[in-house]
Amino acid sequence: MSAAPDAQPALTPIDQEVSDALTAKLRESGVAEGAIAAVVAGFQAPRTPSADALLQLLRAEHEDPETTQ
Amino acid sequence: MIQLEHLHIEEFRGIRAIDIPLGSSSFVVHGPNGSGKSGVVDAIDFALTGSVRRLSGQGTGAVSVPQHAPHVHVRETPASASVSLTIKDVATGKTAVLRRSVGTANRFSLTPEDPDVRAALVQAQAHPELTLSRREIIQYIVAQPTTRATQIQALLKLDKLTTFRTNANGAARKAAAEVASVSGGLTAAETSFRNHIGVPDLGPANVLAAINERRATLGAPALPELLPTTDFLVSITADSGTPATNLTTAITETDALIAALGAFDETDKLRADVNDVLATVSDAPAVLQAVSRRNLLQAGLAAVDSSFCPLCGLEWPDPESLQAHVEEEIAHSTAAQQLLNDLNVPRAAYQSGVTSLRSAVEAVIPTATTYGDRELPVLLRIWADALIAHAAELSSSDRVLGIADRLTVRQYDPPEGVADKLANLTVALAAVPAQSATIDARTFLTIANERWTPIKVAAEAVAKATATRELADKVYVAYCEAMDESLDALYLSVEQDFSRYYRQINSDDEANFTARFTPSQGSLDFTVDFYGIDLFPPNAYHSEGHQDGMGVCLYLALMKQMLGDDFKLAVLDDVVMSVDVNHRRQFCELLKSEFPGVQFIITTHDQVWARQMQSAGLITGKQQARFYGWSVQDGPLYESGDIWARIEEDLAREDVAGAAHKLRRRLEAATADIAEAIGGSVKYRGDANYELSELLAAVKGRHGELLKKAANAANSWNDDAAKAAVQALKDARGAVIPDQEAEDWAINKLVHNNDRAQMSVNDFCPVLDSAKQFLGLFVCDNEDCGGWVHVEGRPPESLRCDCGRYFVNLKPKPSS
Repeated sequence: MSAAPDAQPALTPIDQEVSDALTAKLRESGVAEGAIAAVVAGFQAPRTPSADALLQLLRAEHEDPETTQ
Repeated sequence: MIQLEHLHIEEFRGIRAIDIPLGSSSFVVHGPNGSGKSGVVDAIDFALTGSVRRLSGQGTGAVSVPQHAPHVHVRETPASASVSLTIKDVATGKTAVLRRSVGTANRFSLTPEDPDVRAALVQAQAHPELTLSRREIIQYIVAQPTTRATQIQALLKLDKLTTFRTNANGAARKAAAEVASVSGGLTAAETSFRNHIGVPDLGPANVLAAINERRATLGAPALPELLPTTDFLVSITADSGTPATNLTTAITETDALIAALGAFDETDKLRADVNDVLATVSDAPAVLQAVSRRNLLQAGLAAVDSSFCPLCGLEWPDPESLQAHVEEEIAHSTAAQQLLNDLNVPRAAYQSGVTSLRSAVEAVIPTATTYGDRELPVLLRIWADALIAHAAELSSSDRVLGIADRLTVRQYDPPEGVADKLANLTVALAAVPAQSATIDARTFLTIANERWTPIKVAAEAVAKATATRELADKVYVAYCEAMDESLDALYLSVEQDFSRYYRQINSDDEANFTARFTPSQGSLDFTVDFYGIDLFPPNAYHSEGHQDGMGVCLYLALMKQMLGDDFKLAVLDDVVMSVDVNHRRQFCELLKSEFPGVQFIITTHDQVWARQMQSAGLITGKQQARFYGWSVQDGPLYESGDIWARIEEDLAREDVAGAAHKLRRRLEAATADIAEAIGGSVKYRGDANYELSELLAAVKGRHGELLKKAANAANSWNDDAAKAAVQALKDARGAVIPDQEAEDWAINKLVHNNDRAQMSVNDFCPVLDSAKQFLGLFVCDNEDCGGWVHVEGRPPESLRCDCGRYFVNLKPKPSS
């Protein structure tokens, strides 16, 4: 059976499992909640973000860092 | 999830018109090859998806759904080819009719439009693997590990997982490249500042000492601390007559640029690192092309919403084949994406080297303007602009690929004459009188201020890029761990279910069977136990039949894994044709015991197989359709469900033609079965399309012979009871056959085709009764028995039914 053009991609159980595990592991790594939410939202999006889009998403988490020299 | 209640097909593939009552229960369509069974599977496929797997995708050439899905006689009017599928939302029990026409294959109607049914339908549509053929299932078994990994990942919908990993890796690589790139800018800014103030490193004490020394010369107070925002000229009055250059710095930087001209070793090495990666890309022009089209293809894939390619405008047979083509092209570029990732770090380092050189060139331009040849600042500007342009070309791996051929030679050599003019500038600077202490201090602080701000900006960029890289690394590492742990658990679960299913089917000789999935680096090794000797690839020693069994078991394990309790429907087209007879019953029992809530719709060309499914309790006698012939004009010859009830329904509507048609089909199927069961002979036809009259003659003739044998046997044993029983059968035959023959004309194909409107319900009722009574000669009176009477033994020893209530001895007493 071929994929239906009118079918929307859904999060499969394994996707959800990986998503939950990713959230937990990012928390263990000390990643900020805002960044975790952004990354997980990117993962769960119907169309997987490209490398550039992911990078942009990660960059947005450091919009106004404390300047250091 | 949905199950299927009813299927109505019109002018689709080899089928003219057919109704199959599926009843949301397991159902078998059986019949010989070429009888149209697969048309049923195609119709379900089409109704659910708007496409037909067998008519689209790789290897189907010029065949397409719009042109070739309609019956050949209506190929010019695809709108007349349609499928109506009554579907049931298992969760709520609600039903609706899904109708799709080939003329508008991309759209379907759902009547009534119910949100629950639609949601269940959408879920089913997202799982094309609900309909599968043997060819597709066996691929999981015989595929190469990398292909198997791809196929199983596609079935389990793991593509999101692998795509995200690739892209997370790409993001981490790009983040690292960005750090390298902005660090180059910071290094250039720091070098420029350090060269100016003449200290070995930019520690605050060194910087403040140099700055405060000049401030003291100008009578200004010492700065107590060094901050990114520090103004070195604070509290010093501006002087419009201050020169643009500081002589000491001018001499230092001119000398530095002359030194750089003599040896580009460091930049050459960075360029060589880029070329090392490019060398592997250059060997694969197709990969280069894939790289260049990757972004375009991804944009195009997102825009596919019809059969017209959004990139080139060409029309494809259907949107699915177009989508599959674009996805395949994107897959080809996956390797190219990896090359892009590999290129990122050396590219960024080389770009940083070019940026540093540009910074050194730009630093000398003011000096050249004041003290040099008139042409020198122009040439230096040209050189700096060329370096800026080259650095821009190095801003991404994609752009680097575009200039790969030019990178074999230096792109940073100075314009002709620069070396000589710089040498002349050195001479000119040596002749310039020393600046006064106050002018030196003022120009020193002015230029220091100009060069301090870029350091602040570059440092901020480095801090941002570094934080992003650290986050990207954490995300990539965390994601890989999460994905690997989940996949390991998933494959272990599939491995255990698969082994258990296979053991259940082959409990007689492979009760200790085990299997192992070993995922690694994008491939999936699959090994199975062979009679306790060792683990081998599944197609190494096991027979084709065993491999078929493995294919189905793996499919079931994967579906259970993916859908869990939502696994409610599977349409399997001839998937177990090679499973040997001894293991089929266990297979039926596996389906029945492990998947009691799943509606299996199974096609098979093997009638024995179909009977075993019934006897194993997987299906009932009514849950099957028998296709026993096919013609272009009429489509499949078939029977299904309670045909007598359907004939009565026709008569209640006064549809005599419909009733006659069904009765004729019923008699054709029944007499073919009876002829086979009792050994009736017909003149052999290669296409198995026997006329009803031939079959009736064969059945009646053989029945008469058998009763004669039975009478002789009863006489030989001098068995009065047997004699009476045979006589009763003869009497029944004598009472039925004349009526049947008298009414036979009424179901003649020509009559019901041409004169059907002339016959009334009352005229037809005797025809129906005589047919029922005729067929009644060949069954026992136990309604639960179900089958036709059949001959046992060779030579024939008895004529009997399955339950034994109908038993006639055919074996005469041996003569003494």
